[in-house]
Amino acid sequence: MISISQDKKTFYYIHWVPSESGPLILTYGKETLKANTDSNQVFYDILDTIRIKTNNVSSIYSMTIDSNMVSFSETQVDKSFDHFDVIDWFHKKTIGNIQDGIDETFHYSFSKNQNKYLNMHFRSHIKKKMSLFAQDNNSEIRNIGLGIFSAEVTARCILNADYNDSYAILQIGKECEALIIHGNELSSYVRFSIKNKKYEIIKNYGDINNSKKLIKEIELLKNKKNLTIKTVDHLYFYKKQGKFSIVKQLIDNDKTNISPINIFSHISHNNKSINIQDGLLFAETGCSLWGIDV
Amino acid sequence: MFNVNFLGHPGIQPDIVNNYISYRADDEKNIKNVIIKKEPGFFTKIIDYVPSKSDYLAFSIIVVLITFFIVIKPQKKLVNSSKKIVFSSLAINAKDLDEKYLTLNNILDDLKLQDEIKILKISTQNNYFNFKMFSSNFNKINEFQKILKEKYNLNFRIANDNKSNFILSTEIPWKIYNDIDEKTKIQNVGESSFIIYTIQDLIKKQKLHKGILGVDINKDGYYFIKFSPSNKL
Repeated sequence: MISISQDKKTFYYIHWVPSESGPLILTYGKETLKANTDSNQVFYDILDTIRIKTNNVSSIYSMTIDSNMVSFSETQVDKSFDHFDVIDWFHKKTIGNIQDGIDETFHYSFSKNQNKYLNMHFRSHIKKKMSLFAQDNNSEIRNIGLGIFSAEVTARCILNADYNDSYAILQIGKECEALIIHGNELSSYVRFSIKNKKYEIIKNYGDINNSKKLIKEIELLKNKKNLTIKTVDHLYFYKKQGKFSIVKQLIDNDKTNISPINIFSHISHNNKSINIQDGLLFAETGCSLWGIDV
Repeated sequence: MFNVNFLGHPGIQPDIVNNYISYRADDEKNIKNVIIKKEPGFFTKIIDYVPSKSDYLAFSIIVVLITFFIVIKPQKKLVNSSKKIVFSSLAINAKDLDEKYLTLNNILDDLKLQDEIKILKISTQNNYFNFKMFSSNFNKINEFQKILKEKYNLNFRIANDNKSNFILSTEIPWKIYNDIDEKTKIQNVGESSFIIYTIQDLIKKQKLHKGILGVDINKDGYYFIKFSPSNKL
């Protein structure tokens, strides 16, 4: 299987096969889009480039797209209404008929006590281009995941994150993201950034109180005023392109409830060893390991 | 927690965590046959369909079976005997559970007697009790495999890894049930004897099928055991 994750114009990939001692990574690498790439052809071209790089005539692909490729919204539904009817009505009133639109909307439930849905508006043409690539190359697209949500699947696959009563996934980049999960249900999805050494929420979906508590703790952690995370039982982190001082701090922090999502320290590979900071860039590709014994 | 997959249908997404599989074991052998093409419609398929000899045979067998079950009531003895087959069903009734518990307990007892064979990994996810043992002595592990195969009629597989160890693995169909009342949660590090004791204690108390079990070995030769009650199914 070839698993790919997008970070703006860069695509990270791993090519793995099953082996007697678990999954084995044959190759890994990254590809950057050429400056003149037609925006409509991005996903077809990148899949084709990686297909050639990995010498595959036909294969199964898993693609995780950047969270900037979709739009988000949140819907609150009163307990007394049927959730399906309300969301359907809301959708038709605000966006139009699903069949006629160029977007597809997927609604994911937050934890039951919130009565809220996280709506993801996904551009249909991305799926069409990938399907076309699969047809042309006798291949199959098995999964189209989304940014930090794929990293969360990886944390469950290789780090048994869901054994915890609560946990959070932290994506470190120029703009950070976090997912907070309580009792295996999504509590909140938050985007935040650093301004004047302080973390500020750009956009929050779900329970904002939990998001504020977690971000405050991460801020104290970065400024070395606190060394533990208490909002959740465990914090899993990974990074996007760039250098960020907090990544080294978190790696060096030997507290047991903070772990990096580094697939290379859990899956065997044929290649030379990869340093942990580079390994974290591939965290989202690990979602393709879901359902197998890692 | 849900898994995002935009290949599915838009709308309200179910919590599909338990049946969402991104990789299937038969992918490698079937990949060359995967061709995405437009399927003909349902009625076109029916009109174009020409029955073969095997279709007539299958139809006759179905008619005979239906007649058998309607006219001749199946005897209790027949039903009971089918439950004795270990692989008969994923659904565990009380009798199946007792049998599986007995098998596991006996395998662990047999393992205690083997000095050169140790546990490598145990996982009860994905509807299977996945049990891996390892040894650097091929003859020992091969002999142990034969003993277990003969005693418990299970399928075993031997493989070698990149550290010159031989891995013996087996899978037993296993279903994990919710346990609303049970709060047993285990997270411990210890030697193999402690791990075997902990698992046998869970078997003795009939708690093992009510949660997810995971056992892993670390670089120092110590084991990490995790058992948490299931609340996902």
